[in-house]
Amino acid sequence: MQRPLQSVQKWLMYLWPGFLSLSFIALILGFAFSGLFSEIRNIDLARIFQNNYLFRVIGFTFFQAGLSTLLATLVAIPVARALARRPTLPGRQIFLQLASLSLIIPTIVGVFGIVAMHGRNGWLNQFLSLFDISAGNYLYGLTGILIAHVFFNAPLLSRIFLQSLEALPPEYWRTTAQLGMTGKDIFRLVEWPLLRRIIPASCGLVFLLCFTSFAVVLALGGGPSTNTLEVAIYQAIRFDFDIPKAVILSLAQLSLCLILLIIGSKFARHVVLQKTEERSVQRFDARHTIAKITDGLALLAMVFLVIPPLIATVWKAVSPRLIAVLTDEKLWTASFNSLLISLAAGCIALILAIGIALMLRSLQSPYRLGRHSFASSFATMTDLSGSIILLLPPFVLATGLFITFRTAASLTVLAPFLVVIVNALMTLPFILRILVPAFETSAQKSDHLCDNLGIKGLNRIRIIDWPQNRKALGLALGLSVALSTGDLSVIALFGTQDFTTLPLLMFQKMGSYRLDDAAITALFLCLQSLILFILIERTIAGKRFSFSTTKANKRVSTSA
Amino acid sequence: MILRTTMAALTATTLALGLSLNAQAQEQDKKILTVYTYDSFAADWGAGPKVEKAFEASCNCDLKFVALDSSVGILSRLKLEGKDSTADVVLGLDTNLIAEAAATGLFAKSNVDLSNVDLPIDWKDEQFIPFDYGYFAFVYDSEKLANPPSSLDNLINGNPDLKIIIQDPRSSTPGLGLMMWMQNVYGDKSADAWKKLSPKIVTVTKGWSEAYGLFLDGEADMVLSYTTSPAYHIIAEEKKQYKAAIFSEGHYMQVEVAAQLKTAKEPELAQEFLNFIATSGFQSEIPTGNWMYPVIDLGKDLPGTFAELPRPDKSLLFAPEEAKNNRQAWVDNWLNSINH
Amino acid sequence: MPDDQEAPTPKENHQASFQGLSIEKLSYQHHGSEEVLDFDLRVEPNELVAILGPSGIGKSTLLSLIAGFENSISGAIKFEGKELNNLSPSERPITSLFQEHNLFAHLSAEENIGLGIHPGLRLTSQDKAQITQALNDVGLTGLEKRLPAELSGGQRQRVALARCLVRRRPILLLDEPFSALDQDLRKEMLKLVKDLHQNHGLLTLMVTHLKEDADAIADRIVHLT
Repeated sequence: MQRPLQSVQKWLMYLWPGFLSLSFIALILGFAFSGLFSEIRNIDLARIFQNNYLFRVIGFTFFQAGLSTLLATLVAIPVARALARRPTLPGRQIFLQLASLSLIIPTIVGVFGIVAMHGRNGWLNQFLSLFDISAGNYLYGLTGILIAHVFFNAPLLSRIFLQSLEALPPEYWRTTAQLGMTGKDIFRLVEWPLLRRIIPASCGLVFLLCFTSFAVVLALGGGPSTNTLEVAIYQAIRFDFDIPKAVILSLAQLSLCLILLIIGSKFARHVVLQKTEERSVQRFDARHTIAKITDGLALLAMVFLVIPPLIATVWKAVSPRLIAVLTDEKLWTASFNSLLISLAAGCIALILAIGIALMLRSLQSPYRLGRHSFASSFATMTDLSGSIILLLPPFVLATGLFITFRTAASLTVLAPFLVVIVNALMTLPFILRILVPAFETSAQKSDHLCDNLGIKGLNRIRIIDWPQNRKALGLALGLSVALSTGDLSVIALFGTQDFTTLPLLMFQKMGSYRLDDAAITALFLCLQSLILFILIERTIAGKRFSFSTTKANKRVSTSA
Repeated sequence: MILRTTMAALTATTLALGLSLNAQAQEQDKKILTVYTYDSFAADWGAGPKVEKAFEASCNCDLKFVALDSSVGILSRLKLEGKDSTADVVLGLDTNLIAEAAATGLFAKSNVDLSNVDLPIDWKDEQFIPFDYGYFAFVYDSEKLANPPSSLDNLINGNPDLKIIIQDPRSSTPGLGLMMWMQNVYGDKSADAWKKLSPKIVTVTKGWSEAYGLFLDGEADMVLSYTTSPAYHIIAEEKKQYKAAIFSEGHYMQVEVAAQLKTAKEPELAQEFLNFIATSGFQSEIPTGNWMYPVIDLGKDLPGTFAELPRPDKSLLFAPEEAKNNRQAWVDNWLNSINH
Repeated sequence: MPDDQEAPTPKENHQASFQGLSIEKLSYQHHGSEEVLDFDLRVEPNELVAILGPSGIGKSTLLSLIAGFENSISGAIKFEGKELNNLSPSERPITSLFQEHNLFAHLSAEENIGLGIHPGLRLTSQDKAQITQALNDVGLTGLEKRLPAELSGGQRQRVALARCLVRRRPILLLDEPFSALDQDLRKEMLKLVKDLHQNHGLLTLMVTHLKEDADAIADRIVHLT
């Protein structure tokens, strides 16, 4: 039996990075809520609840999130199937890369592309007008929201589905071929049972993303009946400065999503965002004519959904205004602001995430604290708190923080810091999904060995942890920076013409309906986000240096 | 590795700090007058830059416009910042928001001599001074729409295929104005009127610019704007086909106002600016900059086009107190009846 | 079922003289590789042949070619005088047993076997009786409802063998079927294969890298070089 003091020491030794991260987060949340509650003097609950607008908003939020998820899933399944059984399809690789970018493409850019494609004067209507047909104005409202949500989430889902379909052993496909199972049989008896297991977690994530969707609904919503909770919260703060209403709406969002999360976690398994490995699989059911037709249709639908908006954006950007916009000082100031904000937010998010991931690793590893009775429930709680941040409306956090600090400094001074902090918190859930599994696997692989060989402390970080996890760290920082670059939430609240970021500048240009300028800004924003992502991921993951050369170098240095 | 990322984070935050400090550093050279306004006033193509030039020529100061996304946004920004606001002057609230703004207790008395102000209504407010006015109206392209509705009633109950774009009363003053207009004409029955109008609405935008842009791009037949909007097309573009539909029930009026904050850091400058607003130096930029009527008689300086524009027979306006007391309830009513 | 002689009567044709499986001048080139593998082999009906050879020589490739999982560049695969080359895997008179993953992890033993009777798993009560019989034959009476994860490695291969039986194909191909099992279990399984081979009159080809396995059951051993 260990003495209690030793046991506390042991816990502290393993968990201090996590405690630091969690305390920092708690501190921020504490400041935010104390600010909010100091503004609440009298809550007129009756006005808020008697008003059926609130219930309509909640109803619509559920409705659009559910429908968006359903549609994205319905598009993603046939696409994943088509790609799974056609590993050598030309363009497949490009599509997969594009799909993994869908997280990184700034929402507002995607929205812009969708307007350029589907607006009244968009490409689709222009094309149809050649035949004297008009699809009319279908974009603003529910249709637009659905198109955008499917645009962003269907590629993500099809990648996750594809990944799990590809994880099935190749023998399965030989067996199905020999048994003479048709495409329908294979779907019903093999593919669907597998997908059904991962759908709760992956579609649950997509549901939450659609549930809390902001920029899409703000730009394409078209009116109060298509407001989501997140937008209603923004409006309560931005238009009415009605803090009690904003807080109550946030609490409603938080509790509804939490209920969903808890229900979801009953069947859910972790959805790990990582790259698919290439495996050579031969699918015999791919040869049938029906399979060729259905796969062709699925892929065509996906290509039609995803590609034209992107091309339309580029096309619009190549306009006579190109030089004028690119030489505009405002663009470069915004770009510089975005750069600083995204780097700062990314680094803070990474440090916080490393702390939490280290803590979870210790809690789950049997060589450390994994055998303790409350380790696992503590780990689940920490893990869940990562997801909860996703449900907190960034506006509410930022407003609360500002109220707390407004006597100390003006909004002009505070705004950049608030944007950085809130962005860092908002990207945290995503990068935790990358870091936590990576840290856990590496600990499982190396803990026993390191204990045996007595590799500890800095040596362990240098020799074991860093080389094993640098890939995940690179991906995490890259993703976090890219997400903050494209973020349009807090900045929409606090931005002015003196303090803009690229997404806000773009949104302002869309708002004043200067679409050519918006397109150029969109392209610029997209490139900045992508370049940062690639640079950071490559540099940290050390991809330019192959493993063999570093090994050779080491040998040289030891012999010298 | 942790060390390196920490370093990077530190550098980045320091840079961010530098960024915000930099903005402050400039303030040392000249006195700065900070004016909160809405985006289209401060835009390059708006009245803002010309007004700034004219005022700076006489004041030996730096006039700085902080452009917020809408005039309702100005008010909520002030509520957010409270007594710590950096604004000296606010320019761009309207009659519907005056009482609510006054209730915050943030505004100072104006002390501006308004004797030469020439408004269709009497102006008595002590804090807010008018800087322009106009009438809300639906604007259409007469080459595409031959028979525009002749009344609000006609718009609501007439041609079912007519498509219009309006603005959100929670974020934009034209949107708010239309809501007041409907309220003024239909009273208790306004919910029904909104329900009937709903199918004709293509989209409800956050601000005027987006709505007008969508209209010009052909997304709708009519857009909620001002009776003076066609002047822009006539003067700046020499296009005569855009017209404002005059409705027989009368048109709701908008008087846009400015005021000084009690907490202004440059009260003398602010006072100087408010006085400047009622002079022709400011007012002559209004017709062709903000495309509204000036509040003083400009005489020959008023472009002829403005005299030729049709004026509504009847102007409608709620008293500020009435607007304030009912705004929230009416917005709720609007939210519940509109189907968009 | 035990005495079922399932092979269709061959046409009394002058060329279709050989009734077993013949592999004639079969060439195979792996995708993206220059090396060409050539195969020539004749197996009598009811014969049990073990194929031995070092790894990488193409033992498994040969079985894949026969089963139709891979395509040859030239040559012919014939059974009872009929060429199989252009038939899809399910049309060939063949059933296969792999080293692992023969069973779908989410389907019960019964369902996994049932797939051999109806590929859409629409089973009559008669079919169910047949499944029970097949499970008896491989010594797994009463384990119908078990999922593969609830079975041992040996039991899983027995279920897979049961599926091979209900498919009633004259040719059984085994690709390192018991390499993952320990020695005692392997012997037991080999005996089971030998019994099934004899009772059902199957033409059996088994790829292995263990000479003792080949010696234990094969009528003839073919060394691939």
